[in-house]
Amino acid sequence: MCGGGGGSLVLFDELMEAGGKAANYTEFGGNPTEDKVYGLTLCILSKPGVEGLFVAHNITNNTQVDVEARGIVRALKELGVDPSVFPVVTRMPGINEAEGFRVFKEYGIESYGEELTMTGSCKKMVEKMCLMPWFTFHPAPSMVRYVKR
Amino acid sequence: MVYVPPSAVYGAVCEAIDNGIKLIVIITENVPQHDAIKLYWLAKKNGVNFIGPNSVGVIRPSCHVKLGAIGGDNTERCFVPGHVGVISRSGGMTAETAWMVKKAGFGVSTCISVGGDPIIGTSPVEFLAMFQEDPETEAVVMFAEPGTSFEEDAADFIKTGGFTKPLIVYVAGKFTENMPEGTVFGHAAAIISKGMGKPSTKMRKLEEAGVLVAYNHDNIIPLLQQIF
Repeated sequence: MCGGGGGSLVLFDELMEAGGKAANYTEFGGNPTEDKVYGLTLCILSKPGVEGLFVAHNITNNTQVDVEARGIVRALKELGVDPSVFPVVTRMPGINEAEGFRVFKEYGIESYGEELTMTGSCKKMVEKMCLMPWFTFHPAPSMVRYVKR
Repeated sequence: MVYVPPSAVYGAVCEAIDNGIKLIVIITENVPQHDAIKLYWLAKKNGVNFIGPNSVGVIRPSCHVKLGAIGGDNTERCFVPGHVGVISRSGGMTAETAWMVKKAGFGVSTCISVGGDPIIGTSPVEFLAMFQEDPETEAVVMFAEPGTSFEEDAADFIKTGGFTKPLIVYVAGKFTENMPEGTVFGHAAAIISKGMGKPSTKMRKLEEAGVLVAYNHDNIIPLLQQIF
């Protein structure tokens, strides 16, 4: 679940580059309501074969992080998802972030703000999934490299 | 500043032009394309600059001036005064890119969200021309997406000597090339159709023009530190 028209594109690229594989493309930016975020989370996690949840966006201009956090936690609670067994990583800096982080922490979810870059958060998600015995590591896409690293 | 619903944008901008306003920022997303074309020519005819549609605004931190929701309630978090210009096709990534500039140890001169709609008033090339003339700007970071030919145009503009300052470009959405053509990702303009607007083409053309292309988003930081 990624927010921001451009931010979601960056995150999907970086997640695949880090060795993860996205189960879906969801762009939920633009200050969504709690119900919308809750519904989206339910929808994504109901897809068979989903092995983790990555919620991230760029530093928001107008999206309220606390509202999003409440929607996500409500869906996880309802599905009975235990974040200590099912990998969940969030990187959501922005408006009302302190309250958002508190909501995540209360439910035991790994949450980050601007201490991680967008690339860093994708690496963190894949690292966390690598710890799970069922996780399959996907090598980076075979994009032609135009840049020397 | 135009915040009205899409169908009312045309009327609102006409009214602003009639009343002699010379700079208009359109925040509204998904303005009808017919209206956008008409506005484009109306603005050119009257010598008016408009930014957007689907822009989050413009900010110049050294003058404490901003237009639009850019930066939210805490502008200093991302936008510190300095000498790097930012041009972004995404509103959110305008803030994130400026924050990356700050993280690299520098500040921004002016940050512009050009807008995510397919037809926009002022293109990235026009902004590059303005940054070329701006004494406060020493380098520019550009955030690009799939779709349109803005980046290809920028590459041609640089080749002809229109912009000579260092330019760093990050092109997002490389994964969309492996997705079905004609799918919109995020912004209305971010669409690959009939083989046009592929990030790989944009990156190749930019690199041929001597632009510093960041393959990973984190690479923006070392590239900036390499320039200064």
